[in-house]
Amino acid sequence: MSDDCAEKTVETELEIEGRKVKVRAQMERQLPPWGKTTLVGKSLRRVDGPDKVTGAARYTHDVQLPGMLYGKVLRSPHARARVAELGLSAAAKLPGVLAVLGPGDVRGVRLGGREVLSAEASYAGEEIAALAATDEETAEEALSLIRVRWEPLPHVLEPEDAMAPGAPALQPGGNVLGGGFGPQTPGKPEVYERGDAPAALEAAEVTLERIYETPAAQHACLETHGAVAAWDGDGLTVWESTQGVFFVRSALCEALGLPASRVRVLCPFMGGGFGSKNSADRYTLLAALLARRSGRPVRMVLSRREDFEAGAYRPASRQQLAIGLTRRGRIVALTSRAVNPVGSALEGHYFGSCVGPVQDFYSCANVRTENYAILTSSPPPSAFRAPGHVQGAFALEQLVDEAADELGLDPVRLRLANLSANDPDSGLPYASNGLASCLRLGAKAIGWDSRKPPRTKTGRFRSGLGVAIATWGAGGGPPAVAQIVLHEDGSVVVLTGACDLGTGTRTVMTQIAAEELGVAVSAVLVANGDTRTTPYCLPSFGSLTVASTGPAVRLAAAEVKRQLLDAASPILGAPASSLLVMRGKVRHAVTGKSVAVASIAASLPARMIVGTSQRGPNPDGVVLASFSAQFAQVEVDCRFGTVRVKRFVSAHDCGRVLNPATWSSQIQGGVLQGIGYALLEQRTRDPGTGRQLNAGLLDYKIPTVLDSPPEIEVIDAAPPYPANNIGAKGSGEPPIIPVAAAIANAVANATGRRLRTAPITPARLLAALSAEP
Amino acid sequence: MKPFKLLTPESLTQALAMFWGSEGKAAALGGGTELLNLIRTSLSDPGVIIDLKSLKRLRGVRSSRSGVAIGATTQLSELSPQCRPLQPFAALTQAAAAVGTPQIRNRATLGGNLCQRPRCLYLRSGFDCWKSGGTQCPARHGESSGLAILGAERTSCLAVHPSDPAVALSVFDTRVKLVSASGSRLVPLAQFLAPHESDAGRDTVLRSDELVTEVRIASPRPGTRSAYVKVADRAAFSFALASAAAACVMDRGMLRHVRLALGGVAGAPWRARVAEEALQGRKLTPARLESAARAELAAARHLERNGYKVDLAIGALQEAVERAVGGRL
Ligand SMILES: Cc1cc2nc3c(=O)[nH]c(=O)nc-3n(C[C@H](O)[C@H](O)[C@H](O)COP(=O)(O)OP(=O)(O)OC[C@H]3O[C@@H](n4cnc5c(N)ncnc54)[C@H](O)[C@@H]3O)c2cc1C
Ligand code: SF4
Repeated sequence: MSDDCAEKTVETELEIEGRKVKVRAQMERQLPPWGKTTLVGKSLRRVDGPDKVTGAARYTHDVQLPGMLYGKVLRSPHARARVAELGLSAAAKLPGVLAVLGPGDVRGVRLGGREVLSAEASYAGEEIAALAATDEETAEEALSLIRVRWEPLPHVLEPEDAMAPGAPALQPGGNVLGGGFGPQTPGKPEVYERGDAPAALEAAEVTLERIYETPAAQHACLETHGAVAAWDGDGLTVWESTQGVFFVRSALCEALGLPASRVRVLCPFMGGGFGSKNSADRYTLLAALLARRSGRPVRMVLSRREDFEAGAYRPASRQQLAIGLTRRGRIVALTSRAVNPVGSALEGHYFGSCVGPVQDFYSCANVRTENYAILTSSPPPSAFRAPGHVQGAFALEQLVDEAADELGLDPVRLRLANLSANDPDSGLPYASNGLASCLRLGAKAIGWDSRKPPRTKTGRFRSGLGVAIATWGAGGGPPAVAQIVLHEDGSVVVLTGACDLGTGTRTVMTQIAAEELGVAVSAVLVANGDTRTTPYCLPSFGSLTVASTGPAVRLAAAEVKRQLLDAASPILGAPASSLLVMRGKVRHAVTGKSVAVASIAASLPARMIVGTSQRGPNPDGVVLASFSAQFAQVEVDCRFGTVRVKRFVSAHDCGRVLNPATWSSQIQGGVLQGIGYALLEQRTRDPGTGRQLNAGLLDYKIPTVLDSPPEIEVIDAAPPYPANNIGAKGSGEPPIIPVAAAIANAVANATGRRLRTAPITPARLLAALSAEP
Repeated sequence: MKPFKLLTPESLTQALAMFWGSEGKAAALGGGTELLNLIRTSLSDPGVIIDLKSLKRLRGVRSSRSGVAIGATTQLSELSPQCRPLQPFAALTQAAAAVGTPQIRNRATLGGNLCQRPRCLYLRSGFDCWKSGGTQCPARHGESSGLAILGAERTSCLAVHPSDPAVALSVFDTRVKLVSASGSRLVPLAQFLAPHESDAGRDTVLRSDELVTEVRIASPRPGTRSAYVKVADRAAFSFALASAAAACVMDRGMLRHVRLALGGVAGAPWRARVAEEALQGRKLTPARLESAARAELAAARHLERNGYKVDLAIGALQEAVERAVGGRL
């Protein structure tokens, strides 16, 4: 980093999960865009692939420490109840049990505004007591020895009941909050307004109003939530299956009153997060507290049932939308009134904001959204891959199709005609926008021209085509620091705090570093996700890892290269500006005289070169977003009300594609997850007690490979993206946003019936088919 | 998971003696795909588990003059169309192939499949109910989408029978051989799956000292063709929302003989006798088939959320017959 910008900091904006935040950033050295690349843009095989397939990769679930105990949690069977008496002594006396904690033992230890163990349960599955024993079976037996006298309290499960007059107040302020992030405007919805939507609706030539409903959907990460905690004196080490080691660390420091220097959080490998593992959870703290009490390491890994029951989910929604258009198909007004049941969420919890798409998918001068978050006696929800937008797109993208049908217009054309050149909210231009190409290329690939209206379709099996789009703030930004060490033998270590959720972060960072440094991929090792040894960055959420950490890695590599060339200059007797690094050698551009990188490094007084850089600010005056358009071809079996997705095309603008292989898998995974959301998945609970009924992978139905279309075709429709030095935007979340709407639109095209409630189950589809069209 | 003792008998006689000696506390182990789940969720707590897999006599498919005998520990993956003696029983091989996932089919045994407990979400989520030894059914007025629509007025438990193979076996003359230290009996499948209503917690008539050793299927009438149809929301790894099996003998457009059964709609595989009667001995036409299927379901009673099963069952019955008779409809 050159000295003149090292000191300067500026305010910049980044968007995380649909929420814009301001941060300070240090000005960065400007690097020219890469010219022709040799590694970036290639489908390099995953650098950790061999470790994963051989089992050498150590996940949190795999951590085994000497003397380690197994922690278990007692959870409330009631949706709302007070613990009148808690008898822990029988459990504590069981041989092999080394620590037992009840709410009284951990008073004052808080996470997200709530005590880590509750003496009053506000949902079925809430943590009441915890213990640790020498093995899992003993711990389970001990749990069964805990005696609780419950005093049940009135509970409410459905948002309509929670909003009704006379409903039991679940929190002192009442059950109605504004939606969005964290409680706002108690008693009132969160309102967004531009122009005058009610008047524009009134005046519009054509208006439609519809209600859409989406289910509570769960992440179902292959690796369930879990942590292993070990104390060394007053220092704490925690292995956590997390998306962000630094967020886990700050939660632990805050709850336990420890300095950051004494808390080490590690997550070298993890098995899926999707937004449910952004920070520490109660089990993390309980592992640490039980470890402190017992003097032994404690492993607290949730069972599959617990992972579902107590765990995170995408909140359900009920959205009432209205659209006003001119007869020629220009959208003039959009409104949404959305109700999100958010369980017993507290400050710091994600509240569910499904109104985003209405605000920012289309050019429309008059928009009004009202977003309610309603407290119920259910677990708190959490972010889940494109939180809010997935629900919102299911509604808006069907409404737009319904409007196209009403007007007799083609859904792709109607969309193209209403795309916005600028961000509809701020009016600022996008740094790059390939949405129109996504629509055009995708339409071509699926054969959109052959789409026929539903009235032409008869018989048992009916085929249909559907489209839907997404816009998603995915430009990333600071803070993200990267450090690169060139060792005396020429080998390179890239240090980044970023957790690799299985998306290929390590592979892509390897490519960036090797490309910039001019060394072989095999010379580079990426070490990541360790608060003690790797530098700070945000969690891998908000589609921001590549666009935040990637530019920092390139800068750090450039800094190492600068030092390397300076050191090579006297050896080769040429100015540094005439030298370049290629295939592990520093070479004179003209004479070709060269010297190995290793011998330069070995000749240095320090025997190493260290480059540390941080992600600079985002450019002002532009909006950073990724875009996608998706196309589904379905076949509906009218006899059984089943839907098969026969083909799926997913076209994206995520800027530069750094690795087509990892990028495609990311998109295909998002599409599959969206197919589950459209057709299969929903958290089911007993309407009486609120207990979850499908807390397992058999009954919570994520799609199998047989539910996938034979191929999910991925199209790169990106124009150049100038807003960071690697030219890449995020692609983690956009692929799930339009899927369910594209499928519902295809079902409507096949059958002439609108399925406005997800998932589209045989029961719902048969009912729709037997109703009048 | 509670600890248990695992015994590995070397002969059937020894296994039976072990059951006899364990005073009702022992459970037979086939593939364990069900038993281990039951133990893990505290729905079963056998102190002793007796592993049948080493008993060679209990495994494999044998043909005899009167039909076939399938050993109780034969894996579902072995009930394949490639297995010659099973070729007259296409509905069975199709049903076996429709079970769960390849991993389950490689492990699960036919005996265990017929002895599995209901998949009712309430039962499997630890609710107190008839099937777990209680005296109530929380599902009836709750999340009822999986519950029975046929015969439910006669039972306290409304859970549907989960097995695919049992539905297919119901369109053949199938008997289950039960053996204990004191003797053996051959019980027709329908009877095997129909414990007395006063015994609501049980799923079969199997006594605690008895073992299923064999499933015997009589050779069908010459010319019989059969099929099994399963409707599920997910393409694999799902129990049936509804299913149907059909065994038909066609003769110049006439259904000379027909047997039909439904799955996923009743506490046991449901012989569709009303539909059989409407079709038997008549010319098979799409209209007649549909009205026969509708007539069968006329007796259906549904709760708040399981009404869709009526349409699925009607469709499944039609489809099973259509597939059984091939292109001849
Ligand atoms: C994920 C999953 C999906 C499934 N999907 C389906 C499906 O789609 N369709 C379907 O039909 N089934 C399905 N099943 C059920 C599966 O077919 C049964 O679990 C299996 O057939 C049971 O056989 P097993 O040998 O594993 O039995 P075990 O688990 O060994 O035993 C099951 C029960 O039967 C008893 N038992 C076993 N053998 C004998 C015997 N010879 N004599 C007396 N008692 C005996 C045991 O004591 C135990 O009570 C699924 C199961 C799972 C786990
Ligand atoms: S349907 Fe049967 S298994 Fe389910 S809760 Fe009722 S009694 Fe229990």
